[in-house]
Amino acid sequence: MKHHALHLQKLLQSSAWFSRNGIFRSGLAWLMSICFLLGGPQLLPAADDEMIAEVQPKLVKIFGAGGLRNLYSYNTGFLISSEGHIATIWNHVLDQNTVTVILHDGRRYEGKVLGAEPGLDLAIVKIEETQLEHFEIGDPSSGSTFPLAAPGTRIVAFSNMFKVATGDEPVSVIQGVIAARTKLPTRRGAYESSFPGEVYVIDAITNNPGAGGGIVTTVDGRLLGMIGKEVKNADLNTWVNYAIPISHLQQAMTEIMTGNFRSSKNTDDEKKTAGRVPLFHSTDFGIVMLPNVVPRTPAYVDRILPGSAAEVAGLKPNDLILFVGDELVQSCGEFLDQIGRLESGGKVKLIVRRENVLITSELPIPRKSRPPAKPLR
Amino acid sequence: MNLLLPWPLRVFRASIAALGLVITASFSMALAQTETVVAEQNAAAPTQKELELAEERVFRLATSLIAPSIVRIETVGGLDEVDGILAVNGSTTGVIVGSDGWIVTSAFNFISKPTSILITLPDGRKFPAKLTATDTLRMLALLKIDASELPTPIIAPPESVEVGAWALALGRSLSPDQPSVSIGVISAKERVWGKAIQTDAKVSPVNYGGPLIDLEGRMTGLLVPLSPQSQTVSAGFEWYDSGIGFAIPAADVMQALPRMQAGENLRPGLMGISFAGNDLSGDAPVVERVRFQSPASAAGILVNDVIVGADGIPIARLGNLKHVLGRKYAGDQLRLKILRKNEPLEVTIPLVAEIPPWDEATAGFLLKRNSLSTNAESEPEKLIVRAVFPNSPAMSGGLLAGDEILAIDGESVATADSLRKLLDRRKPGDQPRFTLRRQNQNNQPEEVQVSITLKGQPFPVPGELPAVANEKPLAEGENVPKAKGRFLEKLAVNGREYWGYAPASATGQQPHGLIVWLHPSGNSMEAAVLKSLKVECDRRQIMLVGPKAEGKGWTPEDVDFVKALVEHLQSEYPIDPGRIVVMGQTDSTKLASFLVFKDPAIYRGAILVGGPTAGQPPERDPAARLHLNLTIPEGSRSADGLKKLVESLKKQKSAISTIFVSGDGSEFPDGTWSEQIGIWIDQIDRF
Repeated sequence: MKHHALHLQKLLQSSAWFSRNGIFRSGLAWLMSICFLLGGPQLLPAADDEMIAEVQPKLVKIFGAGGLRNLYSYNTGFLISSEGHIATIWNHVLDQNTVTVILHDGRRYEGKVLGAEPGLDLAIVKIEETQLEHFEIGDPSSGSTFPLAAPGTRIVAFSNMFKVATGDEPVSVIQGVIAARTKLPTRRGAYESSFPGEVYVIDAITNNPGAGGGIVTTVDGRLLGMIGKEVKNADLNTWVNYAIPISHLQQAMTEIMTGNFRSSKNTDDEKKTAGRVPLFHSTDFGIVMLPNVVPRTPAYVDRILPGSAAEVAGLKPNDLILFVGDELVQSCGEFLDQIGRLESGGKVKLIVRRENVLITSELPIPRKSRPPAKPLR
Repeated sequence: MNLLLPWPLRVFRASIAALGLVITASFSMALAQTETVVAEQNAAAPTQKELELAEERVFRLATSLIAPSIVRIETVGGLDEVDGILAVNGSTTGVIVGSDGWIVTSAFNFISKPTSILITLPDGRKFPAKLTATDTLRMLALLKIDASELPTPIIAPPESVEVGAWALALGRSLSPDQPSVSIGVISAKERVWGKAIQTDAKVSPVNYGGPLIDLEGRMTGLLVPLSPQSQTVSAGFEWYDSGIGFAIPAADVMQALPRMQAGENLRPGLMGISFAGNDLSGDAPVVERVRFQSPASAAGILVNDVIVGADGIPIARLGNLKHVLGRKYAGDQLRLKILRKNEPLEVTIPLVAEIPPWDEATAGFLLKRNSLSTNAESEPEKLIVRAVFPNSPAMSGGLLAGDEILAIDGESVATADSLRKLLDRRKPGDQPRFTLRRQNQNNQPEEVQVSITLKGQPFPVPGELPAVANEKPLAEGENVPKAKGRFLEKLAVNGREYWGYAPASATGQQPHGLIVWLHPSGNSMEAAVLKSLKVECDRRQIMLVGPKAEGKGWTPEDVDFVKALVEHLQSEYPIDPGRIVVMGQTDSTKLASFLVFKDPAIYRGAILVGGPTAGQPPERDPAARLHLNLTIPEGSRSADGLKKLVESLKKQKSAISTIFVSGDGSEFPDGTWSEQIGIWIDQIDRF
């Protein structure tokens, strides 16, 4: 049996090694030995009663604005202090600054919006009460951090989706796993923007009306993330179930609770506005593109200006530009957009497709401090 | 030691509770050494929590085993919207299936027809890819990149895939670093007509093209959107993340691979049979039609054959057959066991991707119609040419009205039916030699040979056609005429009301055409229709009948009413079964065409005034020679749509003719339209 365990240990440690080398078979027999122990016809209960009982009192039901505009008027929230600080999603439900908060045991309070960080979709609501069960958020500066969970990690989600829970009923619990950790592209203009950082994509239908502000925990009840809004993945045209990792929210939560918070929203807006004025155009590098006629015109090079950086780098007419740095550009418009965002100085890496080969080249970015004289087409 | 032991999977899958103490003890030891997360290790049985954590690790291990074979696909260029849904333009997923650069993925990922496809390997290398072949039966696409020594996954043997077993759906679209994981179980096998494994793991554009794997990290399937109801590439997309997801069994993917690697596009296999009934779980597969020039017809399948076995599998109902056929490609063989008049018979049918539309080869002449005499002693039929269409191949070839047709290419013909069968074997462009008996200048019969170059559909309807002279009506009392002229009656079987017009000739035995007029909703238009068509009815021996809708408009039950009415009229009047047509205007054209499409054995054609057909007409073949006449009111809002419809029908080699009229389509047309309709009905039994 010792023999068995040692190999299992080796296997677990070396999974990275054999995937890198593509040698699957060596580990397979041992993996099989785990599989037959675990393969069951049904999901095992992902969490025990004890854990659920411990987490439930830390969740609250929030009722606020929304009903008039045919929008749902309820959120979920979770307690992050014994004095009634509640973290929740920043959305239209909080529009009137006061909300009704109902605890797991049915106690009812008026809650005030203490502060919000729209950039993180985060708001903190305060109710007047003491000795409440809560999650410890801790101070990130003093080394209190939340671990990141890997894809495949089992999770439990708590939320008042569709306001199924009323009065002293606990919120709904669903189980799943972390599907991925990734940034969410959202369709610009068509949907509310969502959290811009890396999120947990959940392999369960967690993001429903009212679920925002709920939580995702590990099976042993450790807080992993706050359930986000209902958004569509712009690239794939599908609804996304995601949660914002608590580690991204920790600092803002602490700052709002301690009254040291200054929203980053305005500065963000400034940055965005600044970003919209393109500093560079492809011609700054000597690249003339084929006319951008339809939304998905691929980024084909029409001609290269003589003596330009592009000529020196060996770019040629009919090259299809595919990447600017590590960003895929799917159209001429996207290419010009990426070029426009470049900062003065340094180099930019371009990957082009010529015939059936990908060619990487580096072009120096000229020093420039004023916007181009001519506006972009 | 585990290597030598059979894998006692079933025992343990039966119930997690069946885990023996010994095994759990050894397992907890394994955990103690490997899993530092488990803080307070109990030396005895593992807790539920420990088992769960260990299980999580297996999920991750299985994923990491296959991860090096899961690639990211990016596309550039292409359409924005396909089939009414926004085309996916994000990254998608593929699986390496050949170490020398073969990647298989879902055809869904290329519905936007991108101009450039890029592969990013898990190690970060990027390659341009070529789309080598597609599989429109299983909705797969095969890509090739110029790389070698790539890691390929282990393929799960089909027998190892069990309903209820864990299944992980993996994708690369969300993050290039780690595959996304959705966990579920195998919900069913052989779904979507035998093609797919069903899983409740979440399947969506996030992982279309990615693998479905088992806990050993073996590939059980390739994730694709599928729908049992539809065959388009995006069908099934609407079920994304619903708990109903599909994967093509990995073994089937590998089997299709060599043909696709050779650049062959794989398509669903067709045999060319349609069946009576459409209840997949009820009706037995009784052959209703065998498509002309189809593999089934070449294999000798006949109408009323019953299929009782396919590829060695017993077949009782249509669904059974669809299940066997549903997984076959064009080029595959289908072994059918059939019962013909209770005699068992075996045939092998090579399936094809397409059955070409039958293009009826036409010469452009009419035969004299024999009277519909009930007299068995009637003289033997003679095939006398009644009329030759102006500017037709028959006229160019030198056929004359009055000629008697004796033989085609040396094969003698005795009846109109046998003449048709002989001509049906010819294709447009063929030049059959007609042997004719013709009166010479001295009024002596002599044999003449002419060659006629046959033409395909749509064959032009002649602008002029002499009418058949009316026989002298029978004397009163000789054969009691039922109703002459305009009449209003009720059908005995159901009491439903209809009006009609029988020309005086309908009291005789000359065969008459029949127009069944289905009025638009709320307006019987009786007077206008009769006024427009009465002269033609008299001149060209056509009966007119107008059943009346009950209440607001036509209902599905009226299909049977019309059928009963036609049968009734056939018993009362000399109606030519080859010239019964249904006519509708604006909102009744759909019902009119529906009737004709459904029962081509009863109705030979449809006249559609200012309205579309009910879907696509059935494939034309010698057993269903549908003729369509579309009247397009130039001022109608539907005119453009109808013109498009005509164009598409022409491509399908339909016998379609078009009449343009002025107005917006609310009035019933008359004038020259009526004359053209008269000629059209008169020439429907053309050769």
